[in-house]
Amino acid sequence: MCIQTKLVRSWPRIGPSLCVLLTLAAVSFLGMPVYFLGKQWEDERHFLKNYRAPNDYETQIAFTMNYAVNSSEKNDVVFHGDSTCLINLRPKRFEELTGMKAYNLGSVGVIGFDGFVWVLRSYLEHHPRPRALVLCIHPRALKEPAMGFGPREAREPFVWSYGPGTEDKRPPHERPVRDYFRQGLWIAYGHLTGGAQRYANEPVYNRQGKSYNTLAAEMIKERGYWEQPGTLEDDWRPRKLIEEPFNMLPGNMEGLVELAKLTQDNGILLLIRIAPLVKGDGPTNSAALRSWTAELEGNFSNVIVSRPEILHYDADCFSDIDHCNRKGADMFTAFVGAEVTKAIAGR
Amino acid sequence: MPDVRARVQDIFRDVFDDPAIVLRDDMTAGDVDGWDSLAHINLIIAVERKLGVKFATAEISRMKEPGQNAGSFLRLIEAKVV
Amino acid sequence: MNICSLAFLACVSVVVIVYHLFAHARERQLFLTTVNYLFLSSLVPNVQSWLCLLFFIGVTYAMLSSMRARPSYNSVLVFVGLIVVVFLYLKGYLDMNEILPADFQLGPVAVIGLSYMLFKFIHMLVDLSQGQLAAFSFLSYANYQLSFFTLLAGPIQRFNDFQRSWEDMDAQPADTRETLQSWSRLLTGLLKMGVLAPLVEQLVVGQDAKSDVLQRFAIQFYGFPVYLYLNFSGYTDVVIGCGRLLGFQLPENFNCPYLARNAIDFWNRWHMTLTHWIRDYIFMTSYKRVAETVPAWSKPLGYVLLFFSLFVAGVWHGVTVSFAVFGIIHGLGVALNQAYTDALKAWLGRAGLQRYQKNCCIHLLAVVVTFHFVCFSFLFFALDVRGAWELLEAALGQLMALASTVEVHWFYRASLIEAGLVLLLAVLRWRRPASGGRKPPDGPSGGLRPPLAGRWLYALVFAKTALVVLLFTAMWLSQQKDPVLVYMRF
Repeated sequence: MCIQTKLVRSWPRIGPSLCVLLTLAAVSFLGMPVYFLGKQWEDERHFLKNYRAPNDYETQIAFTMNYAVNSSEKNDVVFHGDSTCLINLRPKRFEELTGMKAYNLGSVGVIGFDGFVWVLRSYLEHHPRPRALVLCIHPRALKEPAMGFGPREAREPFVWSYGPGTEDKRPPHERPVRDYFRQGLWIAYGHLTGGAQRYANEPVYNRQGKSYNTLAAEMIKERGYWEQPGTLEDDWRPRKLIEEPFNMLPGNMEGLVELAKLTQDNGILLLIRIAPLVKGDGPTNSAALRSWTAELEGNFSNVIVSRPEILHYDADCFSDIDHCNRKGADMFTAFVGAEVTKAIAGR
Repeated sequence: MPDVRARVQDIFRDVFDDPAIVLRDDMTAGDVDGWDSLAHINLIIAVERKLGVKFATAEISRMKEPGQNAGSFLRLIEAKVV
Repeated sequence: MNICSLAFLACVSVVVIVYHLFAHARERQLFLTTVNYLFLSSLVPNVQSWLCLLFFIGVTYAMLSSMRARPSYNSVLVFVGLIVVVFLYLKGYLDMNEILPADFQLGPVAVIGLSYMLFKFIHMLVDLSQGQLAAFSFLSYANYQLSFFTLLAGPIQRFNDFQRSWEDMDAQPADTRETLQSWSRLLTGLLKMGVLAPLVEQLVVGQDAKSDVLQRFAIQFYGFPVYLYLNFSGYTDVVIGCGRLLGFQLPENFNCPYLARNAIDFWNRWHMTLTHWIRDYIFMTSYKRVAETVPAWSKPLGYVLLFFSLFVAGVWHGVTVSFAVFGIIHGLGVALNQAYTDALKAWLGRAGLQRYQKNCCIHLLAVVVTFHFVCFSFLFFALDVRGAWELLEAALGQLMALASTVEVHWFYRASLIEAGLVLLLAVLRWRRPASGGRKPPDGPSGGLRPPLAGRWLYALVFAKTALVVLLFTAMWLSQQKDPVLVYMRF
């Protein structure tokens, strides 16, 4: 029996089934461009989304990378590190005290030590090399992985967009088809509602209602410094941040060594400065840190570890348990200014 | 077979304790008060004993299916009696 | 493959189209065998599970062949005893690893639908011993046991019905309207199981332990039965729709169970094929023997056997204390229901009982009480005994405390809403034909309303397909876990 005859005879059964199959196929067909849109967006390594305002982590990372890549300014000193660098070191105050031009490339701890290397590399590709790099980090950053300082949704896109660019750095997808499809829908929505330009004017989370564009203007004015106002609450509790024996996380050590190598290869002085702590928080005795700092200084001639390793300031210098307010930032900047001046003079 | 019908009707009246039952071909379980699972088995046992027939499990179960009625039950009995 | 997925929907449509392109029954049989095998392959996780499955099918077929050659009641008892032991071992209820040689010891196996296969086998064995079974071959038997539309969780189809369709292979001229209605049913099942049931499940499962205990209790008490019904009846709609598209008329499993007026009526509406199997092969068989042997004791023993039958239904779900409690509750419910009916008949007489049963207020009250009885029993279905008891205790405690206040608490407002819902249910119930096992089941209208014209049916199927695709896609995108058929684990 030929196909045609079979079809005619069985049409009452086949017809409706074909209707269902064609409906499924049509929807799948319409869905394919959405999938490819989502895939392409990721392949193009966009960092910020075009369908919502960036969150505080994304904002900070984007500012830092924006300056590193889109500017070619010459700076004598660059501050680099996590949020303790971003919030505790004021380049304009540093300039007033030392006469040296500075910029604050600090961002967030979630980018990790490997992220610090990528940021610096991007900076050096576009800017004349500075005389000194001050790496300011929180003691926790030495022992904890980068993921402990922020969400996965901040680190993985950062690694993919600004990292070495290898396929193994692509954000992992439990269900790639679903994730790309969903991403594609969001991207399409973003295109239809105004794109990144529109959302750059919408409030950024945890930034007092300010938009990305507003914050960018403020950051430019303050040369990368971001002020966190306020004072520490009375109910804070002291922590054990550095315990004997102190072991730096191997991955973090690798990143730090790479940073030291990169600065050494470019003839840049690397001053490592641990961020100040609230009086009563963490240890007063920093003996646990000495072994690895001494090792680092021994292996790299351009590395200086600022001492004393642990600085304690009064509680009124802090806006939260980890970050200084303006008063604390000025105090810390003055200290760092003196250290940098001494270090450069000694070379 | 009128004899079988009459005897089955007597059995129905006896099992359901209702002398007013008149067996009709279109009669179903819903038309007879108290025709539940227990009574159904009692009816089967009574028919088996009095008419000397045997019902299989599947036949007993089939009687409770939609579409089955006293007429189909009688035809089944008549086939077994013959 | 998950039966509640767009992939399954696409596969079914392709299978139906290809199936009907084959002209001969034999070709269709072989094609269906291939489809059943492929579906099974997606569910059997490892070689050991395959071996267990093939062993079970092989051994049961051998037993049936032996029974076919020499039917005997004693053989039925021996074979059933043996296969129950095999079943208990394969399900992991019987640890025989100490007595079996190392090569025969069971590792992690998953044999899907084993208990349903056991029921089907026992039914075939008994019917075969009594000369009631249609002729069968290994191919038809294997397909009967492993057909993709009854494998996971039934319905428990009788072999003769399957064999009729197997021989016929949908050779009769088909009706487009009937096909569209089957598709409509299948799509409705997907919506129930894949969209509505997960939404209700989220409400029940996602409760905050710190929220008001009465609220938690109410959501668990009423929400879980709704979820279970949507999940299981949705699955049933899907497989019945599938079966009908391939020419197999599967039996119904649900008939508005929460409108039952008593425990017996509930089991005649909930998981009907299981109830009928237990009725035919456990209850009727045992009661017949008792009534023949000791007729004077048949009535009280009848109650005991009713209790036992429903207790078996309970522990069939799982050999745990909570399912045993579930079985005890329903066993008692059914036995007491029968005793109550007999007592009423003795007290009121036949005419009085008729008036009683036709009284709409009594009917309404009976439906409400039965619904709450069922919801109470499902507490032990969803939670372990301790969890259910603690929740009940906490809720009752709070209720007692509230009862002493005059303030109209939200719980009382909720009770008023519930009373309104019950009234609405009663009105809906009033519009349907009387009960007694002859109600039109869930699914196609069965003649209650005028059939839709062809093009409107096409539009309905198209709309349902689009809705299923959109909602399934939305749920997939929102990272919901795939809907799981609750009854697949039994």
